[in-house]
Amino acid sequence: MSAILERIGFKPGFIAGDLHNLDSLRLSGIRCGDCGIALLGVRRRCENCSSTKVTEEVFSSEGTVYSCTIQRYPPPSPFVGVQPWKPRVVAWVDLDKKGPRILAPIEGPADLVTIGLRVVAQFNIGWTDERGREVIAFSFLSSTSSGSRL
Amino acid sequence: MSRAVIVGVGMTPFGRHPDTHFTDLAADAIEMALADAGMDFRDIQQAFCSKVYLPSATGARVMERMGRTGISCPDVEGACGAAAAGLRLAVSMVETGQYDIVLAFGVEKMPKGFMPPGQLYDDWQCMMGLTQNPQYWALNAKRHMHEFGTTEEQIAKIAAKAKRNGSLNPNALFRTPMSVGQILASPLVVDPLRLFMLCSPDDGAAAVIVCSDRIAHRYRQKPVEVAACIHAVSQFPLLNASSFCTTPTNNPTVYAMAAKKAYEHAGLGPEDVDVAEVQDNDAFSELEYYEELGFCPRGEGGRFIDDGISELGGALPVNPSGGLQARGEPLGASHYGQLHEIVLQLRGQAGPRQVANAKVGLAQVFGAWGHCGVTLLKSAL
Repeated sequence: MSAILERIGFKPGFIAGDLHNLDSLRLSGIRCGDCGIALLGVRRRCENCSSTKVTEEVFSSEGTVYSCTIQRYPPPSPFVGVQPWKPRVVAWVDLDKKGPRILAPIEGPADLVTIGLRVVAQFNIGWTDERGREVIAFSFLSSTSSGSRL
Repeated sequence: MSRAVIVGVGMTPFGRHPDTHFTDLAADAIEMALADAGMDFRDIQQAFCSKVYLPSATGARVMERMGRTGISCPDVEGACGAAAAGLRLAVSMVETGQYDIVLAFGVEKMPKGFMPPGQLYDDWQCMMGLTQNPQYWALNAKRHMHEFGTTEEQIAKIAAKAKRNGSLNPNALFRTPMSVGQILASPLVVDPLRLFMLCSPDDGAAAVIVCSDRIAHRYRQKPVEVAACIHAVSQFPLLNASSFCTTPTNNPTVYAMAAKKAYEHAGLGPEDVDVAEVQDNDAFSELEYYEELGFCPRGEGGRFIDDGISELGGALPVNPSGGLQARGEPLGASHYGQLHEIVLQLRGQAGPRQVANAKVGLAQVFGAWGHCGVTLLKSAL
């Protein structure tokens, strides 16, 4: 039996759930009790208004593409994408339930991704860090191609 | 309180200077500014050196070249807005009467290609390959096209204008005119942005000498007044910062807010601007700034270029120097390079790029983590 590798999220406070059960994972952060905005990542103060009245929140995994483009060149080192490099879609996604707008890669054929497309977050092992831990990262895919995952 | 005026400007060509040490580049620009002002270096009472990627104590190393007169010369870092931050310090010191003559200069040497992401972004952002600037300009462009019907041709027209103006500028990196067709035939980098719509990081230095209006008459040049000099860090969450997120709101952008402050401080409005130099990292960003700086209503940036308003000979020429697209961007020097052009324009010394009767000029920069600068200059009456 192979040893289970230790796992960490891509950034502490940005991901909630059991890292060994990828389907349980959600993006997370804070909502401000003063200005009402939501942001990825747990913070002590609201980046928008500096209020300390922030509460932790787990965000919806579903969202809508606000804008999208095709990255046609391989990003510089230390990028760890699939080799050989293939152009991919990168988008700003507005998460449902007044969640944040976030920058993310979108999986799947580039020509199917348009502004307004409904997408869903998915989590996977992105890379292994220098201490041998698996780092869990995220991307999105079209929710029509993946089926509904709430 | 004194008024701050600019009595001297100098710049090296922005481009590739592989065999010139950065201290020599900076010293060249400073010597040109001193000659332009008819000033001795020993008259300078304070200096600020703007730089981003160069090493610690860059300014002090330049003082070694210029002669150690014992003045203070700290480095001022603020990404692409580094020189706007430096100018603001120089102007504040003169306005408050602490000194009468302050040198503000910037210098950079940048390798070709993507800027090293590790200096700006966390590991996870680099590992996921999400750090490159052109993609967020492209995302802005795609949304603008979706909302307002802006076209690739309109974006390409701005790139063609940059190349045309750059061909008239001996200090530009790219000096070959290019047609809209040639630009649209260049490879897509991040849709809709193509290779010849993007600026390139490069090498160069530029300097301005800020002086109190009380003693400006001692120097040769007809001074140009600093009507406003605003530097700010974005007030609202920014999509290209440490969490790559924001919340959909109708908050104004940092450039619109900085421009508003600059106009209010100067008692001027966008309708008073005769010539502008803006942060055209890419051709689309220039179109966005037409709107954000108040030159036209939101959504009408495409029409602004179609109508030729921002062309040399138009009602409000933008980036007559060729902008970042033609000059490239040596980060620490970039805003001083813009001011060099605006000062020449306001003095009537811009040669084939001269904007007729230019009295008020605006220069704007925007960089990583929301560093933004807007400077308004006006010719002395």
